[in-house]
Amino acid sequence: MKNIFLILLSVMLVISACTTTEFEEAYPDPSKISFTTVEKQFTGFLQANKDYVVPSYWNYFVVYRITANRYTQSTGWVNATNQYVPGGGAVNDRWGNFYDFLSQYREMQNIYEGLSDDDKADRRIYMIAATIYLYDAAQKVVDLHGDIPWSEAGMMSANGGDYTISLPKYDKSEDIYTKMLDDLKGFADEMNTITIKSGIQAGFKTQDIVNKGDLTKWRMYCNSLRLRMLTRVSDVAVFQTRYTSEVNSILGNPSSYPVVSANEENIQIKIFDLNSPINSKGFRSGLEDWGGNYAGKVMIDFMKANNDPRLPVMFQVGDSASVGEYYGLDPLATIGEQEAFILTNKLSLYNWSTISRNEFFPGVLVNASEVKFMAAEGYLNANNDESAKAAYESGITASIKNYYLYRSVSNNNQSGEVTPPTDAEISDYIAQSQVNWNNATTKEAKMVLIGMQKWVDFSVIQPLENWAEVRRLNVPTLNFWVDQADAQKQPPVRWQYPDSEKTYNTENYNAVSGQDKITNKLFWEVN
Amino acid sequence: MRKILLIFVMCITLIGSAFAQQSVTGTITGDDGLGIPGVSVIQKGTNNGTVTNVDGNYTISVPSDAVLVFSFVGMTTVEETVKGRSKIDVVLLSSNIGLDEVVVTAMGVSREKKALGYAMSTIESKELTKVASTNFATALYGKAPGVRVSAAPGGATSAVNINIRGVNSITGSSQPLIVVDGVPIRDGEVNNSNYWGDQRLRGNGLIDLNPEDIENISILKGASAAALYGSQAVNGVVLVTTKSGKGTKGFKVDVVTNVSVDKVAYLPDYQDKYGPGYPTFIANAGQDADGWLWRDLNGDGVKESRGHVGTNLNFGPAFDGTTQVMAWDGIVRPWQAQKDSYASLFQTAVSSNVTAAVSMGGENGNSRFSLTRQDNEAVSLNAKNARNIANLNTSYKLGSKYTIDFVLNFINQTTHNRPYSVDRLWNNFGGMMTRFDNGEWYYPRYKTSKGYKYVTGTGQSLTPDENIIYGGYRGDVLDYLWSVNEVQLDETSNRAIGNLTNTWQIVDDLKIRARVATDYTSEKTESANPTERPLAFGNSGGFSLASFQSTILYGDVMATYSKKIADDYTVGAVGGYTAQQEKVQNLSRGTNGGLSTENLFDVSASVNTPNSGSSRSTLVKDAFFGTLNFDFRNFVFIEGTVRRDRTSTMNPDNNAFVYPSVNASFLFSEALTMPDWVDYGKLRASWGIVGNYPDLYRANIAYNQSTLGVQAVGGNPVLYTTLPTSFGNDGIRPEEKNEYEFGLEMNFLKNRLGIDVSYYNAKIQDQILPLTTAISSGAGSVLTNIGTLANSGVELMVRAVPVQTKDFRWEAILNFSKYKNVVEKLTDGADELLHADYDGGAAQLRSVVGQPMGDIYSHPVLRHENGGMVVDPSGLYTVDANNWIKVGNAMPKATGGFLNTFTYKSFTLDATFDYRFGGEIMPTAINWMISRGLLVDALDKRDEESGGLAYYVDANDVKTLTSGAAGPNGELVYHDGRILDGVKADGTPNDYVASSSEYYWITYNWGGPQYSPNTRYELFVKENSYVKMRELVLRYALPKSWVSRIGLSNLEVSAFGRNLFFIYKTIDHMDPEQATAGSRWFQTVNNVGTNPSTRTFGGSLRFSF
Repeated sequence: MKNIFLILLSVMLVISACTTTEFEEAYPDPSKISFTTVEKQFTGFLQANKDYVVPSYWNYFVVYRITANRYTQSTGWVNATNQYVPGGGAVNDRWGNFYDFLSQYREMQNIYEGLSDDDKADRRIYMIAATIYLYDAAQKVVDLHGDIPWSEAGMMSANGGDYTISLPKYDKSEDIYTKMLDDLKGFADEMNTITIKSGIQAGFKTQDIVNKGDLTKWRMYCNSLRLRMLTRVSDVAVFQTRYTSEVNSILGNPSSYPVVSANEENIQIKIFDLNSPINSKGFRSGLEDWGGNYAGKVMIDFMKANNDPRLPVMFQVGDSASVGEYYGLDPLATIGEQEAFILTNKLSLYNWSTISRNEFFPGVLVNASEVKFMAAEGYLNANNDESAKAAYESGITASIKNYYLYRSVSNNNQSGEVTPPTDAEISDYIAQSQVNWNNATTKEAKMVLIGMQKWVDFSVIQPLENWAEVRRLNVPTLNFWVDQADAQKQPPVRWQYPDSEKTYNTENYNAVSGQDKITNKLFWEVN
Repeated sequence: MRKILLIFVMCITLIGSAFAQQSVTGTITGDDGLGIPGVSVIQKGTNNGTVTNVDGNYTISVPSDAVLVFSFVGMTTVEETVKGRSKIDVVLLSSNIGLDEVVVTAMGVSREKKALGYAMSTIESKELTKVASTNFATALYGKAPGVRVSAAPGGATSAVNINIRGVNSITGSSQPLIVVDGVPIRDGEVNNSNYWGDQRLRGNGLIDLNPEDIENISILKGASAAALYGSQAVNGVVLVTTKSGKGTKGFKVDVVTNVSVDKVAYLPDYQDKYGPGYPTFIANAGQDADGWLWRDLNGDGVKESRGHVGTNLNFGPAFDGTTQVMAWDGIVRPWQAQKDSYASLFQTAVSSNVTAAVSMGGENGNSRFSLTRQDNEAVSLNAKNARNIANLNTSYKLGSKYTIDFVLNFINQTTHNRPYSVDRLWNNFGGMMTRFDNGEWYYPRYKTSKGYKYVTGTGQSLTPDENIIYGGYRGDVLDYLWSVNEVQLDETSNRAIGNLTNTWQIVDDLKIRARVATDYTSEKTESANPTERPLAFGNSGGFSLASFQSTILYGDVMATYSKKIADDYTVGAVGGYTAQQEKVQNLSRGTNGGLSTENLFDVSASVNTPNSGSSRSTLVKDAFFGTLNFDFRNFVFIEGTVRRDRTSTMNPDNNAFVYPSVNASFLFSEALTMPDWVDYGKLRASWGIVGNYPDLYRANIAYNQSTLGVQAVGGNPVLYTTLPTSFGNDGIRPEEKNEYEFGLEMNFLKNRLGIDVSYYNAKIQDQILPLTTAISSGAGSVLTNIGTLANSGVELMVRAVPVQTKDFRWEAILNFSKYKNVVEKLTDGADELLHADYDGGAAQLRSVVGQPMGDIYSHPVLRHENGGMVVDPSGLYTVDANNWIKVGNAMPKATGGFLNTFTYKSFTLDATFDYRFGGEIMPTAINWMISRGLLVDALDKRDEESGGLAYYVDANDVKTLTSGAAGPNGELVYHDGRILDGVKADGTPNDYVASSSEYYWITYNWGGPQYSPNTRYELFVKENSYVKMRELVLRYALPKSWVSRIGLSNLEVSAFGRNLFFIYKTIDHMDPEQATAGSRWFQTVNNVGTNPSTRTFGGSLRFSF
């Protein structure tokens, strides 16, 4: 009996005793790793904001539906009280994502800085590409908020987790623009001479989910971004010299400073496999839920009046409307009138098959049409009317064709077949009274033409670019329902900072709190 | 244990010889009126004695001047002088302060209760089962001082929180360790406050334990009591002992069955005067001057159909009960308030359970086997839960020195449609039904006649005629009904808690005990979301499978040594080792992109490659422990303990910590001569350290890794890493709680009055928390040791028998605990810590140095230099966006219970009250309901009768008082004006007129000053004090003579009610317990409920043979 018990006791001891190794093994989470590379972190960085590039439910439903899509009247909606203050959810989430994305960039920088000089030189292209992509996203955030935490932001990991020294100050939006323009110019030159070892290029091709390792496209992306930033600040006195010289240099030296100039060159994250995490399956709910896909009256009327070939591919008629019978929702009607009109089932919607239900809809970064319109503005500013006109018209052509390109990759046909317009039909459109370059006699009138085309082109596809340009150009002239019940009676001109800044970055926030009003214009909105 | 002693006592007394001079007979009954078998009846100062028979009767021969001592372990001893009487009936009171009572303490060590130098509350089986609670925790309300229970709404499958001596962690877990028969079990925490993360109300591990199988519960409150559990014990320990066959001779069968009904209770007090709508000066929805919205239904251009504005504001036309108005569902109804609009969204829940237990015992051991079937419903539609519970508890002696104990508790459970959170209906405008709306109206409309989900407006549908086209419906109610009726969630789990213990008595003074145990749970979940729209419109619906497995493997070895050194001294020592491993594995797989075939519920119906998920975790901990105790003449007891802990959640370079404690007890009633009226007196003192480690995997910093798959033709898979934005900290230290405690226990007046009072004082240092930072710093939170908490308090239990006559008896227990918490220090000289910012800077939950944790701050009304409250031109107070004031604190000040038992002959009435005083909550949604004009609070000054002023609104939106029938330009005159007491911006008295609809709507609206500059969250914060009638039970024990004729040994019937009413309550429109939305204290501050509260009525039948 005694022996049996001793055996039993020893077995129990063996079962229950723990070794030091067990403690070490159970300390880290088995699903995580303690080491990474520049390459993997580069992709981690690129995908960290994919939901704000590739159409996603959250970005469209929570952010755009109640903000930019309304402020630009790209969509129609039923008016309601308190509708002009950007929702906390939209502001906080977008901000939070940007700084998560930025900290992935900082981590990539940390890893890169830890490499030997040789390894650094080999992987330089990763840093350049990452920085270009970062600046694209950063400009959007500056254009929403103005001054933002920037040069000191995202440093928690670099500071070893010491939160007491990691709270960032706010940089002036002008300074951020300057820094980005300087860097991008440097990259543009550097990429003209850079050589990438074939071994590095093979990895870059895989890891680069934006341009698939195509250096030329990164050059185009870089210069197109420069054009976008320069254009945005073109009316700001201190940037005007820079605008003139750099835009002329870009437009005049396409071999040194290539830009996106054809739809095939559009910078976008293409959807390759719907079963991978990169897809546009959330677009449907994101745009369609709660009537986020209603057409707006001003846009529909403008397109109808000029027989726009994009109408059937961008929009679809209401269930009770006959073919070609497009209607947008009037933002100035009473709530009852708006609701009643919706009930007639005649309201047009954004085209399901081209847009919201197109699960292959790409994540648009820079399109040829946008670049052409910026070039047109650049030529116009240089008093080169002929080139301006050519750029304007090829911008329109690129825009029209691009919408049909979106449709050509779609996996949905519920909205019915569409036929791309012939060149003649496009020319007819360009000759329409509200489109025809020759009908505009002044520079201002020409800017209206460009602005209107940009507005239609951006629509709900590039809502933030759209809102920025509508604010900068005041084109089109939009009228909004007056919200009697709210202090904010009209749409805002910027977003306020998220609550997390007031609460957790209080000291730095207080330095900018005076300008934290949604009625405070961005520095580039000087008109 | 008690019964073993009893057998022992019986043996001795039977041997004793008797000197018969007179015969005395009588019946010994308990406070329940039932006879107690086996009570020792001894002639004082002799060996002469007997024990009572099964009916509690005894006969004894004694001298006529003898003193009889009636004693029973666990009950107060009674002495009676015979004085020639031949019949002496005695009622014995159960006692928590029995002199010889032996209790189970930490690590399963048995000790005499009198030797304990710390407070420990014990709750017996009877208290746990009398109102048929489905788990033991909800039977503990008010029953132990310093123990606060709060149950999340949702019934049998929802989590229950236990807080012992307040909250010991600023943001970490505050739930105690649960130990069943000496072995820690899986409990876990829940968070039901995140609707978008999980819509179903989850439970925790303790709710699986069946109260009918529990013998008693001991609660180790202070650090010294719990010190042997070291780093697991910062929140106290609940020791559960299950029933066994000990003390049974031969066979015994106990059967109990209960049926109960839950009904929705404590719904808000809705107003019944006004329907939906608002005046045109608020917004022009096309309504006419009276607030009606007219529609042209027949297309003749004339708007002939009367409707209402599709808003959730209830500032529209007054109800008259006659006007015919078309509701959102197209049906024309008389214009009247809908009384049960919300109640109709819930069901009456019927629950039942049956337990049958067989106990047997003999020379070589004993065992008990029980089977329980519970069928539980919840008020959430279609929610059902069924449990089959088997419990086996055996003890066998192998010879004189070896004992094997085996306990197995098996719980098989199926849950169909776990209660669905009503968060969207209550905590959200989108779900607030107007007073002209009714849950019943939604049943025919949430689903189309083809079985698809409802479609609104001009949405695509096969049945466009059924589209919901008129405003006024609440999309969230439609979604809710779809979810509770159509979405099917089935969970099946099997849980085994088993425990094998071997004890070897090596020599008289030394024994060794070894134990292995496990708590294994395997759970499978199937979730079927039906197709929401025809396939032609796109794929929808989904199906997923998930499995969860959790294993705790536990072992300990312990040697116990005890030696009497001299007549007056005994020393004892315990040394041991314990180790524990916890493994969790989750696997899931589900459809992606909807179902390929309508309502085909299988993963194979996935449109795209199915989603899958997996996670696993391992936690390892071990400890060496030892105790040394010393006892002098049975009235001074001193014990010291020490434990050295290791855990895998800490950096392996620094993961071992030592937790010491010491406690002493002095029985002055034994040591000193006491007056007659003092029966018992004991002083206690103790000190100890316990701790808490960071949560699993939180300290380590590592990269997430994942793949994007192949992203190009012929490409390679794209692998990537990201850095988490919740930062860990390899240098984190464990939390450490350092607590001392003093106590006094006394019994007076032949045990008719007893008190037990404790004072404790604890410091909890190095609080671990994920400190929230601005995401712009590169992380959203950083794991940090921050600050020191000081908790102190007094616990008091008074026990009395105020009335005792032959047939009637009233026994009462008052539990009271007062608790004070102070944040002593925060790291780096910071003087406050922000827990939560509510509703865009409207209110904040902070912990401020020098104050109790959980201060609620909000913005005050702006004050003019002259002191007046500033009113802006809208006529409403301006909120001072730049200032914060403290408007409350989330910690309760005092809690407790008042327990009464009234016995009249065979009838017993138990009435249990529990109470809470002090502390505030912020039930935001109740205020938002006021803002929508839904509650009676929003009726004042809404018309002339209630004091509203008459005014008109001119073209510039300026309101001016008038006595005329119309404004100067024929404007409409309204009668709900008010002029707030205050000053205008220039300091002159306010004369701006506000409409009451705007006043309510805006003052109680959502949002901080930047969103809503006149919304006053300071008004939202309310004191949360209450006295609740928690349990009421009427029991009747049928007469033995009658019962024995049908072959039973006893039969009892009872009727009971739970959560019946409030005697006092400071929070309107809700049961304050509804605020419990998670396990952590800050999840119980601003929620108005994830499910409605309920009242329960039931009956039970209990018999033995």
